[in-house]
Amino acid sequence: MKLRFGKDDWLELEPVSLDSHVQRGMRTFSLGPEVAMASPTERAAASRAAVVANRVVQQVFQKSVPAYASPAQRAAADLDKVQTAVFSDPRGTLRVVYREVVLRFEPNLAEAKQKALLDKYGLQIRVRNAFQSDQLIAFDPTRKYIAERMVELANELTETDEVVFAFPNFVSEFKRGLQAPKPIAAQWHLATVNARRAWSKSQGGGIVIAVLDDGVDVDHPNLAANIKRKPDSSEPRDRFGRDFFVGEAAPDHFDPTPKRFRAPFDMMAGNDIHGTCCAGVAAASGKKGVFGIAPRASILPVKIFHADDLATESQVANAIRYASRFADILSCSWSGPASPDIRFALEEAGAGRGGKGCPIFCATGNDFRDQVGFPAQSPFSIGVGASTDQGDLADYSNRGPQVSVVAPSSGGAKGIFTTDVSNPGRGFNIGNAAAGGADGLNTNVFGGTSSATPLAAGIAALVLAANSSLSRDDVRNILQSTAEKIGPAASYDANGHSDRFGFGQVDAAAAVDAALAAAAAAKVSPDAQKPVKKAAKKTSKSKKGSKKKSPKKAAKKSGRNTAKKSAKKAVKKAARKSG
Amino acid sequence: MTSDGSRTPSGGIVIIGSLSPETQEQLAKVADGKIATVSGAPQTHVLETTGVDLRRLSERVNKVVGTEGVVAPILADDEGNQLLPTGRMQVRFKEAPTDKVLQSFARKHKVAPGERNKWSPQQAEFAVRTDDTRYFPDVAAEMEKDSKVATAWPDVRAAFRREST
Repeated sequence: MKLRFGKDDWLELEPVSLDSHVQRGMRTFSLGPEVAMASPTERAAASRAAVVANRVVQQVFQKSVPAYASPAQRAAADLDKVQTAVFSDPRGTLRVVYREVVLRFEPNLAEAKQKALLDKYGLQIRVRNAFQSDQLIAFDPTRKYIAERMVELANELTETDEVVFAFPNFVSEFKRGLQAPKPIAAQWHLATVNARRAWSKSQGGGIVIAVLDDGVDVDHPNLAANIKRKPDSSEPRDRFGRDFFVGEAAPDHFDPTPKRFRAPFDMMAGNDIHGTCCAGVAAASGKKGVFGIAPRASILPVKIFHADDLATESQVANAIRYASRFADILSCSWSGPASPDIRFALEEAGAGRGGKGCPIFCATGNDFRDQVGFPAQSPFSIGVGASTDQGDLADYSNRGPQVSVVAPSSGGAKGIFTTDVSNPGRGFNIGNAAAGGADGLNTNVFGGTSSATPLAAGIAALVLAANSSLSRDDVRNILQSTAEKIGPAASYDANGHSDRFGFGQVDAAAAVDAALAAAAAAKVSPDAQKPVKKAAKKTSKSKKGSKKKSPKKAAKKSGRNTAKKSAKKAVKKAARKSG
Repeated sequence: MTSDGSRTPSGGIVIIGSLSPETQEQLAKVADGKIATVSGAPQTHVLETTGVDLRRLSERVNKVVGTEGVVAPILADDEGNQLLPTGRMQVRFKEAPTDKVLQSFARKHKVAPGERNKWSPQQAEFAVRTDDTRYFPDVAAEMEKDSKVATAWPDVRAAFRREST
């Protein structure tokens, strides 16, 4: 259902279907019978909506009658006639509406004209706004306009010449600070990296993660709310990312969604079903129960592959350049031949984020070998390997000095539960309840270093949302220094690095704590976009230093030794503080 | 190869262009093999061979193809990955080139007028002309010797792997 948001904009509201009945004279909401057959994530979302609806009805719409009132007293107060509608907005916030509308008239509209309009719809004034004389709350005493019809009425009123805007007087969920949602147990990897503790401080809001892959399903119910819209304001055709597999002149260049499907549709070969899974691991909104590690971050879909077709290197390189202009973080769950063009593009991404640089996370590869793939091996990227639910290295995860960190993925007893392409009959899960739900919207068999990479990228989004002044090397250092050492202690050298585990398994909560501590140390507010002068000086100084290094020299150092002193200090301080 | 020494001609020839059926028939005879097309890459034809002098084969193929397409050897890197040239050269200039520099560069190196990279102004792309009979890797080598150029390399199509298990 669409609600006018002022004269020119619309807000998409998704009705939440709930059963209601009158119990002891009160309207009560519960799950409808159709939810019984729904996936675990849908059931969880519907349960939450029922809880919110009951709370709103009791605390707001029926508050005129005391809680201890008898059923007869309640019936006399018409409480059983309360009809509400529950909607979920694009951010997943639940909004409950009954029969009130907030109206703002055109400035200085005569009271007679205001009254005429209210009379036309049979509305009465509940209260005038004490601070804004043109604004009031009205209601329909006859209950003609209630629940969904109130949304229609608001749209109609907004279209009139007398009204600036009309909005149902929603009772909405307002969250005090950050509430850490609870993911379903199937998303075990979130618990492993301490996501909920991190979410109480940062959920990635305001940070954009580019997913460079075979496309992202921008209409997926768990992704749609987090898709970055209009990333390039100078290009109106760029609505939500681009397809660099085809050239800029191609008609579908501005469509980065999955396009290539070929039977068998649940196999990656021949199908564009990989990027949607990666995007979900990084930043699924949780609206329909599946969370990415950064549920408030945005996703910029950047399509570079059409299934397994050969891709042109210059176009992959340009995709990286585009992404580093319009995103904060790049996630690359793929590998390929070492390329001069891609190498230059990775280096140029150091100029992204206003010179602070875009961290680029790259899969180390699934070849079971002692060599990290390209571009993960580049000093300008952060190589991410895969650990398992058993706390060990996934046997397929490549090993080498360029492994920066590892992140939980497949290879143990469980795979990764994430979003899957929503096109019916397409995706890793084509509609199997045991494979992630009969609706086929999610899969529980995703994995590889492909899955580990967006998980680390998403943690970087939590870090940057907590402290936006960090450079890309700072982000790398924070993830590395806060990583949990897993596996045998003997795997790690004197610097704390292991060719198998990198600096260890990513820890979202510790990383966010370190980012906040670095912000405090640099006297930067977590919300501030610009650091204070002193911190800015330090950043630019160290950037110059790293720029001077040749790629080869930097490669020798595996990137990890190019730590910024300031970040190191702040991270050390943070580690001391968190004990 | 110029900027990346690990890439060497190996394994066959790529022809980029719209080839007539007659040309395709003649090519099959020249190469003692079949002509394959590349999925998702229209107008790209591959002649796979082994143990052949690719410079000589390239000359022979060029004579058959004429101005219908650009002829280039398949390239391979250290790891044996096959890379198919697209017929375009990527040139990284020492400084962002002006339009005038791009024009004179194209004339000097006998390639089609260049297009500056929208995202990286220091870089430009030049298409090798279909009437160019030089051995393709030599074109990049010559470009790299230009005093205005930092590095140059043939653009290629390559197999990338999505790292899901």
